[in-house]
Amino acid sequence: MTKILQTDEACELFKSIKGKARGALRSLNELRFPDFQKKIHEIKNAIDSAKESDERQEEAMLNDFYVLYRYTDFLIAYSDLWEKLLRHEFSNSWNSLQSALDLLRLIKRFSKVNIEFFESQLIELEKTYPYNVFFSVGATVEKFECSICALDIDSEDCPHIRGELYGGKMACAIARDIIDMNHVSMVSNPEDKRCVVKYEDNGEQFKLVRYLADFISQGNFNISDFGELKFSKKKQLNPEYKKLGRNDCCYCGSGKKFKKCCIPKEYIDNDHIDIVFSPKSIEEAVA
Amino acid sequence: MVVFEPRDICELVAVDDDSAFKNYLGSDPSGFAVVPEKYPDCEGHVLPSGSGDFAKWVKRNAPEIKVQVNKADKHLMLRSGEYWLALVFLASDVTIPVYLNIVANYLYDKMKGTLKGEKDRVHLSAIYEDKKEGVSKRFNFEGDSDSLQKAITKFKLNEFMDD
Repeated sequence: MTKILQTDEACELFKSIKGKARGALRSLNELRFPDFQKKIHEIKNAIDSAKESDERQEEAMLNDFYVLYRYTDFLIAYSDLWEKLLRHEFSNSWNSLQSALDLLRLIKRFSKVNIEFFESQLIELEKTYPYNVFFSVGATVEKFECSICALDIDSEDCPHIRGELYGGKMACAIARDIIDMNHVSMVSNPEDKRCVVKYEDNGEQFKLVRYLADFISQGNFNISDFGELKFSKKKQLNPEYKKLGRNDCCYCGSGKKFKKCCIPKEYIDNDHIDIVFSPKSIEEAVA
Repeated sequence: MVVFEPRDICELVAVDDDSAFKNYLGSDPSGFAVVPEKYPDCEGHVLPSGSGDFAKWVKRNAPEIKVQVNKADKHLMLRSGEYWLALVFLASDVTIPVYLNIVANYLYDKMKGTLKGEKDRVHLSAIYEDKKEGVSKRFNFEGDSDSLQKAITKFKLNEFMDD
């Protein structure tokens, strides 16, 4: 059987954390956010005390601790996201969603912890937001400093590779001495999806996510029940359509006869989205 | 709505000024060199961020291949979610398919942890000596790992036909 973490000790610790995480998610389903936070605090304390009593300080165990802390961070971001969403703070909830997704990527990269439920749910949730164009900055810098050894991470003197774990710490590249800002581009695939055009929380752009939030806050479904969006087209009456005689001049201003122009446009295809809720147990979510 | 649909690029172009590449070959090298180059609206020669990392990754995962990183005036930080690899000069013991295979493995490693539906995309350029035609050529590529595999297959097939 594949181990979900590198060490047996961490696997055991995760088992106990999972029970607490399930309890926390039940609180979240009942929209009891302070209870959720209390339970997450207990999880964090359990990891802290395990780390303090770990005398061996071996690489594998320290890297497992890194994953467990990121799991806790994920749960916090996940709760934060739903809390903001239900309060109609949609712009801010987008940032929390991106934090939660970033944390899932780390957990997936460094462990085999089952995140399937959260991954599927949050990818669907991302589609309810109006963002599909992002800003990406290009700049030149003197060097990138390694967050672990403070040397130039691109030099051979630094033994670390960015994005990898060393003794429970991730090597990150810190941009030092920015020389100039070269450009800002608009892209569909940015490194950071937080760089977006900001919309007002009460704007039309958040119609779908607002509908979802209201549906949950009115108690129709639990947070964990949301899992899928189905996109389709539906025929709807064209509000601009005017019934005219076949040989009349078309209402759209094209100068053509109605029969040669807008006669077939009485109904138009409109985007339609079904929000699919399928009740599932917390045991399924935190497998 | 997709606003900017990226297009794949897979092209071979003749190199106008290959003096730097010829100098490199003159030093009887092996493996490949990571080379800074000009970037629009930037003074001096730049390396994209992560170039040194890529070299370290190759040294660790393909130690039989020698890698040198030439010094850049500065480093370019791009915040798009794509991998921008620096221009490389290939010595005679590293063919384009070998180099592309290294990149494919590097991408695979870097993409661990990506979520469902997220796609990798890489930009790379390599200058090599086409011994048959006796000229220096530049291979430019932009695409995902599937397109990269197609490019590898195409090059291998060409090599096979040439043999």
